[in-house]
Amino acid sequence: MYRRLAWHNLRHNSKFYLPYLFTIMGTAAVFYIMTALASAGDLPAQLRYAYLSMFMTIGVFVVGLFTIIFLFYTNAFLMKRRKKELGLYNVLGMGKAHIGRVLAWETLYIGLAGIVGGIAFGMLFHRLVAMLVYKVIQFSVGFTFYICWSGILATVCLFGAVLLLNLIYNLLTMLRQSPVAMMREGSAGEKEPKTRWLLAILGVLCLGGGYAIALRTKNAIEALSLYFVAVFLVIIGTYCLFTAGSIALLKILKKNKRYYYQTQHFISVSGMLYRMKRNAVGLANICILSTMVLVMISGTLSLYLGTEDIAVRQTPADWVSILRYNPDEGDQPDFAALERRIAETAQSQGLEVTESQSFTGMERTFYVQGDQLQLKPSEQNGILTWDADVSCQFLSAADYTALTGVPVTLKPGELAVCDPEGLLPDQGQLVFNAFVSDPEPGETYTDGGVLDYVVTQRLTEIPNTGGWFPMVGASNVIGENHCCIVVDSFETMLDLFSRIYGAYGHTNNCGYLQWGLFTNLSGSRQEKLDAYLNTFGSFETSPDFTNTGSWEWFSTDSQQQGMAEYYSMNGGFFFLGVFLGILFLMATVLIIYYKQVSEGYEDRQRFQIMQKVGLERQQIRRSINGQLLAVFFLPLLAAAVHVAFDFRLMVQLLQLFCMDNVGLTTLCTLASFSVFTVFYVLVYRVTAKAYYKIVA
Amino acid sequence: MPLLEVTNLKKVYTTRFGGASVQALSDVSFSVEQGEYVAIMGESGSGKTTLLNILAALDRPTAGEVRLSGKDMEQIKERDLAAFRRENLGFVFQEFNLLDTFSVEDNILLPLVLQGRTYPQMAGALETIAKRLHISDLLKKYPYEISGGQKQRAAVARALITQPQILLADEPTGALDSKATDGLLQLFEEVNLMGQTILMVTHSVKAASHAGRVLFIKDGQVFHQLYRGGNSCEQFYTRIADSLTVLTTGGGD
Ligand SMILES: Nc1ncnc2c1ncn2[C@@H]1O[C@H](COP(=O)(O)OP(=O)(O)O)[C@@H](O)[C@H]1O
Ligand SMILES: [Mg+2]
Repeated sequence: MYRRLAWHNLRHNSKFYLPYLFTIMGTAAVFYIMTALASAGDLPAQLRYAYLSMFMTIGVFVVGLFTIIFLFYTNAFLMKRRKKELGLYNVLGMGKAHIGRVLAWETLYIGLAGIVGGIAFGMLFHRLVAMLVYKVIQFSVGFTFYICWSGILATVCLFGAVLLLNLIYNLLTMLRQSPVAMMREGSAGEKEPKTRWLLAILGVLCLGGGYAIALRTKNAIEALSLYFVAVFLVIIGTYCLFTAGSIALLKILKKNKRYYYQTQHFISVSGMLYRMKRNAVGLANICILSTMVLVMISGTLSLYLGTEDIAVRQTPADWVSILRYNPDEGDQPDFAALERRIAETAQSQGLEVTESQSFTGMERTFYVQGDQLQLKPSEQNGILTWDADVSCQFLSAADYTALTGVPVTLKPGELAVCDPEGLLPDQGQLVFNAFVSDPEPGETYTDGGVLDYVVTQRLTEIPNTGGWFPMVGASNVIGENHCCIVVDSFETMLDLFSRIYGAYGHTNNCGYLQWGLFTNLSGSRQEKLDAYLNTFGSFETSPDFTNTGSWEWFSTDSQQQGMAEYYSMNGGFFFLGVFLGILFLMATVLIIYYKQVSEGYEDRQRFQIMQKVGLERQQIRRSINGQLLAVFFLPLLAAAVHVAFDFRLMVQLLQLFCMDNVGLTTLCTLASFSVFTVFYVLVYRVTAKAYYKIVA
Repeated sequence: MPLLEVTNLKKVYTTRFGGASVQALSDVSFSVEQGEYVAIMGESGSGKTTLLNILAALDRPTAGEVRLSGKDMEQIKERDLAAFRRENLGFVFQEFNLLDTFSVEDNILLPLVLQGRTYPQMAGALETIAKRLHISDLLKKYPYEISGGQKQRAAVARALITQPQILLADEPTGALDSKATDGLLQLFEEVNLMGQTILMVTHSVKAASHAGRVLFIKDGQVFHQLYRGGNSCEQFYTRIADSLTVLTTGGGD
C-alpha cells in the first residue's frame, strides 16, 4: 500500500519529479565518467596522462561538491511544494510514521532509477567522452572499454548518501511541523518582504569591492592571489543585491504614491516585489551559475585555442638551443661546430636543417637614478635609493635586425631601446660601480667606470628570443620594468660584460653571455617530435658535444614537445571547463524550469482574480509578460556585467599560462556569451510555454 | 425603467470535445429596480453562479438579453467589457478573491487604480468607504493576516469603492462562520438602506431572509418569488423555508 501510494505520488508529481530524476541521472553519469577517467585504467603512465588524471580528479571533487549542494537545493524545493499534499494525508488520518514510509519508498524508487540509470548512461558515454578528451589533448592512444568498479562504488556511495540525507531532512521537517502548518505552507499568502537595508548595503559594498579588485590588479600574480577574494565578494554581493537590493528598490518605488498608484506600475511593482521575494535566491543562483559557465568556457576556450601560439612564441623555432658562457673566464665556444653538431643530430634521425639562425645577448638589471643606470642602488646614509629598477635584455644591432627585421644602425655610444614604460632616460650614463667598496682580502673588485650613452632610436618591436630571457620568453610581452637595449656591435656587448664581470669581483655572480641558436627542420610535426625525443629526450641518447670549445651550459628545447605538453594541459583545462560548464548549464536550466512551473501555478489564481476585478486580459498578459521577462533576463544581465568586470582578471590569469592574446580572449568571451544567450533564450521559450500552459 | 432587466436568458455549456452539453440556464427572466435588495436562491448546481457571471459580464449567454440601465450588454465590445465592468458593477465572491500580493488598502484601491484616478482622489474615496465598513484599522494589513469576515468586508469595500450601479454577490456568506455572516448581512442591509442596489446569490435561507425579495431558481428557470413586504427577518425566514420545502418535495415535476 505504501509502495503503491509512493508510486502514485511520483507519477502524479511527475512535472517536478521527472526533472529531479534526470538531474540525479545526469550528475551520476558525469560523476561516474569523471572517476573512471581519473583512474583511467587503459592508459600507460606517462607525463601527459598525469595531467589528465589530475584534471579529472579536480573534476571529481567539483562535480561531487556540486551534486551535494544541488540535490539538497532541489529536494528542499520539492519538499516545500509538497507540504500541502503531505499535510492533507496527515489530516485525512495517515500517521506521520506512515507518511514517512511513503517518503522512504519514494526516495528508494527515485534513488534506484537515478543511480542505476546514471551509471548506465555513464558507461554508455564513457567511451565517447574519453575519445573526445584524447582528441582535445591530442593524445593518440586508442580507447579500450572497461568498467570502473571503483567509480561505480564511489557513485553509489555519494548519491546514496546524499539521497539518504535528503530523506532524513524531509522526515525531520515533517515531524517538526503540525499538519495544519504544513497545509498552509503551500498556499498561504506571503508576507510582504521587509526591506533589509543592512543586507542591501552589504551587497553594494561586496559587489563594489569585488569589481574594484577586478579593475585594480596590476599583474598576473596579484590577480591570482586576489581572484578568489574577488569571486567570493561578487558572489556575496550578488546574493545580497538580488535578495535585499531588489526589494529595497521596489519598496522605494512603492513609497512614491504618485508613481505606484498608476495602472501599469501598480500591478508590476507589487508583482515584482512578490516574485523577487520568492525567487531572489533562485535568480542569484542562476546568475552565479551562468557567470561561472561563461567564465570557465571562455577562459579555457581561449587558452586552448591559443595553445599553438603559446608554444610557437615560447619556442620560436623547431629546436631552440641556448648556450651560456663567460668569455672573461676563458670560455671559447666553437659556434660553428655546435651548429654542425645540431645539424648532424637532425640528420641522424633523417631530418634536414632548413633554416638556422644564431644571436648573442645578455640580461642585466639596472637601477635608474636620475640620468644614471647603475648596477646597484646608490646608498645615502645607509639608505638604498633608486628611481626604478629595470630588467634589460641586451642585443647587438645586427642580431636585433636579424630577429625582428627592423633595421637599426648605431655608432659606438649610441643605443636603441625598446622601452614601453619609458623608464630609461634618453641621454645618460651607464655606471659600472664595483659591487663591494671594501673587499675582503683576496677579492678584487674593479670599478668599470662610466659610459655616456645617447638613445638614438626608440623601438617598438620586441625580439622573440625564445625561453632564455625569462620574463620576455614566458609570454613574449615585456612585462613590468622590462626593456630591450640594442648596442652597436657584438664587441660593445663583450666590453659591457667585462665591466660587469669586474664590478662583480671577477666571479660568475655576474651571470653569463647567452648564445641562442634557432634551427628549423624538414618533416612532419610527429617526425620532429620523435627526432627530438630519440636524441635530446634522455641523458643516454643525448648528442655528444665534445670538441665544441669550452662553455658553461647548453640545452635544446623542441617546439613540438612544448606543444604536446601545452595541448595536454590546456586541453585538460578546456575539457574540464566545457564539461563542468555543461553540468552547470543543466543546473541552470533545471532551476529555471522549476521557477517557471511553480510560478505558473501561483500566477494562475492571481490572473483569474484580476480578471474578475476588472482588468483586461491583454493588460494582464502584458504585465505578466513584462514581469516574466524582467525576472528571466535579470540574471543574464547581471552575469554579463560580472563577466565584463572579470575580463581583465581573466586576461591576467591567462598570462600565468603564457596566454596573452587579448584579442582571442575577447573573441572567445563574446562567442561564449552569444552562444549562451541563444541557449538561454531557447530555454526561456520552452519554459515560458510550460508556464503559459499552466496559467491559461 | 428597471435598473437591471433579464429576459429569456439561456446558457448551455458545451464541453470542448463535443461531449455532453449542460444546460445551466434554460429560460430566466426577471428585473431589479433601483435600490432593491434581491436574493436568488437555489440548490447547488442550479445555475446561480452561471447567472451571476453573465450579469457580471464575465461570461456571455447562449441566448437572451441583459440590460443594465437600459443598455444591452450584448452590444458592448469585448475590449470595452473590462472597463464597463469596473465602471458599473461591484462584485463580491464566496472565496473573497483578494490578491495576496497587495495590502488590504491596495486591494480596495485596485479598481480605482485601474480607472486611472489620481492618488488624492483615491485616498478620499478609501477613507469614506473604510469608515463606513469599519475597516480603517485593517488597511495596512495583508489578506493572510486577517479573518474571513474581515476579508469579506475588504472585498465589499473593493466592490463599493467605485460606487457601482449594482452590487453582485455570489454566496458571500458561504465561507464565513455564523458571527461573521451576521455581520456581513447587517452590512449589506445598511448599504442597501443608503440606496445601493444589491443582487445576492445564496443557498442560505438566513442570508436570503435579509433581502427585500427572493427569487427561487430551479432547473435553470425562475420558479417562484417572494416579497418581504412588512415581514420581519424571522417571519420572512419561515416563509422562505416553507417555500423551499414545497420546492424540494415535488414542486419541479
Ligand atoms: N464552465 C463550465 N463548463 C461546463 N459546465 C459548467 C460550467 N460551469 C458550470 N457548469 C455546470 O452548470 C451547472 C450550473 O452550475 P453553477 O452555475 O455553478 O451552479 P451553482 O452556482 O448554482 O452551484 C452545473 O451543472 C455545472 O456543472
Ligand atoms: Mg455557485
